[in-house]
Amino acid sequence: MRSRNFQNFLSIFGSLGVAAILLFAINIVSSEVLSRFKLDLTENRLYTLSDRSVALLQSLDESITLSFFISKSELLQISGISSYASRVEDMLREFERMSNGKVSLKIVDPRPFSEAEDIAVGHGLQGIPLKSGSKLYFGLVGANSTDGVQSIPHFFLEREELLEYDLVRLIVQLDGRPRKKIGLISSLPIQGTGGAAIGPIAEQGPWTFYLQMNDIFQVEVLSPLIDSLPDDIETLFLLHPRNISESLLYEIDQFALNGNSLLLALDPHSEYLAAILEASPHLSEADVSSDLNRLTSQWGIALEEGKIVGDLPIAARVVEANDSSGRSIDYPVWMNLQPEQMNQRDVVTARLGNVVFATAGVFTIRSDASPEMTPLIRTSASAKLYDTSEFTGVVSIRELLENYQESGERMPMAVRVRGQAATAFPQGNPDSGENTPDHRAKGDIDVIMIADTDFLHDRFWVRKQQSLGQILLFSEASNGELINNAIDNLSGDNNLIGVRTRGRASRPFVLTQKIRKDAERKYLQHERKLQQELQRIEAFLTDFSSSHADSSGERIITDEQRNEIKRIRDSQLSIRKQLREVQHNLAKDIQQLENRLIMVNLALVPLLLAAAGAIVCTIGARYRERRLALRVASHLH
Amino acid sequence: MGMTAWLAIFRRELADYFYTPIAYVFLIIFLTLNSVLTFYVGGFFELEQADLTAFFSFHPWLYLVLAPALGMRLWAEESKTGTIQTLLTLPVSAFSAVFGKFLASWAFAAFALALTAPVWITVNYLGVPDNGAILAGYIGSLLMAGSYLSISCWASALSQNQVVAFVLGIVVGLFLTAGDITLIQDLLAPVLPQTLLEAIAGLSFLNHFEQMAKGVLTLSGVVLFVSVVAIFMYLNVAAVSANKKYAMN
Repeated sequence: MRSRNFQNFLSIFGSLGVAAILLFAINIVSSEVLSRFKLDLTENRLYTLSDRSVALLQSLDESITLSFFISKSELLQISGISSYASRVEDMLREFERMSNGKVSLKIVDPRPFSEAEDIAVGHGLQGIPLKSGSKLYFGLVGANSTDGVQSIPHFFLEREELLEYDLVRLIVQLDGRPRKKIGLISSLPIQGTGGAAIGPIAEQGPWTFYLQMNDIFQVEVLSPLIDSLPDDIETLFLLHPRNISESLLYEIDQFALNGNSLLLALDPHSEYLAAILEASPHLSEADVSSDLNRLTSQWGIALEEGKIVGDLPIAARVVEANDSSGRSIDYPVWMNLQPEQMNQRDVVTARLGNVVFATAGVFTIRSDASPEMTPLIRTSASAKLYDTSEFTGVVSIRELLENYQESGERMPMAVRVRGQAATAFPQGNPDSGENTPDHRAKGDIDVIMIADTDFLHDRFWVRKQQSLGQILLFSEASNGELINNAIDNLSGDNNLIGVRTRGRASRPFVLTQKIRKDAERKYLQHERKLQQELQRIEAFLTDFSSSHADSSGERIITDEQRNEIKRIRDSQLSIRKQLREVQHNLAKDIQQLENRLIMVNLALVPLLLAAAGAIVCTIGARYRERRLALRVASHLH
Repeated sequence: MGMTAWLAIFRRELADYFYTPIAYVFLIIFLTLNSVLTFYVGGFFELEQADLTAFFSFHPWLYLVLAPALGMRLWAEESKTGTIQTLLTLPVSAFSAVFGKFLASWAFAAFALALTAPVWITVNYLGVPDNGAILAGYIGSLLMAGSYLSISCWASALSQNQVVAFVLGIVVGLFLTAGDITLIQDLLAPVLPQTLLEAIAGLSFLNHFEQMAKGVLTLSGVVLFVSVVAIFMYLNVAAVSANKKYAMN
């Protein structure tokens, strides 16, 4: 017996060993050979190389060498990194495969004190110090045939979703294509203010979207005081254009009619300028808004002056500065635009994630306009227009929400204008006062107009985080993508657009948000009335106590008045209690929903199962006993 | 009997599952744990994100512990009640018996997984999730369940004692589940060479399943799960054959 058990044990152990070896062998081979085969079932095919990337890779001019520095032996020391590293390696191999030989990949393990490590460090790669004393390198250096070098110092796990974009951008930069030249005229300090703080705004570096633009295009910043546009510019971006002279406006008019493309970012109310207005003596109230209606109304489209749009269902939630309860509330003029508000058939806005607009305007379009007007972004049908006057000074959000009347129509906030248009200067050049020979009266224009400028400010879409001495930028909205898509598209290059936009970043609980907004609408009015009542009572009590003191400071009150005061104090307490109830109710509906869902999931199915099980088992047991008895009986006979 | 032997065994075992109270206990525990972990530990309502990543993240650990419970009775109980003698002397190949039993446990696990549909419905009720990604997660979860079950079936065939089968199933499963976490790596580092350490890390179920839960069915992940099933079924057949020979003698 003993020897049999021992034999058994040996054979079990042995077979387990063989099995382990087989398992390792099969899976090592499969991860080497089969790693690129996968079925991406996500809605936006997030994990597959986009068609645009493939197209880009197949049309490269330059030969590019990618050196992937990865400390393989140290990977296992940080959880989660080794699987990310293999995904990065997979993607790099796929780039190599798709590039028709233009991209070659080298994988380098920068061991401590090796030459490889020196090269890595020399290119700015950072080694993460590990517990064991060694360093983890996880970065990329790309070089082209003309000594151009671009690097990704470290692949941060948080940027995983943007991996493809970061890699494609690096390759595009190395490809040495002449970057398209974009002219930019801006009255906002997007290049930064040289470190000086203005008013309440401390952040004064270059705006992130501008840095991103510079990565992809050659941006020439033009002064608004120029008289003529440079000849080599084919795309012009006007950002919050103010004080444009008639001569320059004529130039822009002719520029557009001559087939060049134009991007206009206008604003009925620039949050940025409104904030620094007091601290800026050179600015006036009029500078806070911008439009180019003098020019665009000729095409059939104009920014509705003096109007700011609010959209309650997609309002951003803020905490009012003077609200001691710290509760968040809907601010209708700061909008969190969803795919539903964006044109899914236009390449600029299709599959864009959420975009944040702040105090934006709307465009009015003439029905008989001759160029084709394609709305790119529209409000929901629940939007309404506010006067800009309601936004000077301190804004009471509760007042904005009170008696919110939906307009019932979807208003355009971004429009593509394309086709035949007429000049806004039928008399010709305003300077020369007569028709010059190369004056164009008509032409095909290619314009994109956006009724907000604040969406470009970092504050509405960028979050900065310090990590390993670097500042990491996380986009919390697709604002940067929107503007860069627009410029890409206008300058005739749609390649990076498909790579950049990968769809929704967040999928919120739509139902919960709706309940929250409905509840707030119901209760907020009630709350406001109660608060007003409370204030009245408190004012009355203060008045009363101060007016009923005699010269010695003592109060003289009759019994009747005492009773009156008691009654008033009681109602004050009751109102405070009602206020607390209102605030409590706001959260109650959502809590109820959650509880109901938990009950269904947690209790319903298990209970049904228990019931079913009890039934099946008792009936079944008896049934099987009989069958077994029959079988045994048949055996015996 | 030949080809359809395994079908008969499959049917009998599957029916047996439904007639035993312990299966319902298992189902209730599995579903309850899934819900509790998703809603309370996974922060489903706090995050307010319409996806099931929290839900899927617990599956490997749930299977690690519960799959042995499903599989352990398949062979060990037969040994105890003596019916194994009957089974082994029948003109049924070891392969049929193993395959039939394994398939029954897998079908039952599929049933349990299907019963988690309320969570999927809930997340669609609350928002607009990526249903393609969720589908990939379910497919991956089913494959992974098969892997864990094949291990526990084998463990069950090795020992007459259900508890031993249970523990063995968990231990082997653990190495395959989380081979790349620092705890296991540190544990094995003094004993095994670097290449083996990396190989074990590469087998990590957690890693491969994580990809599937995100929506990508990787071929290497599918190969991993299927190869585990194949190898442990083979071991299972070997163990049963040995027992068979002994029983025949």
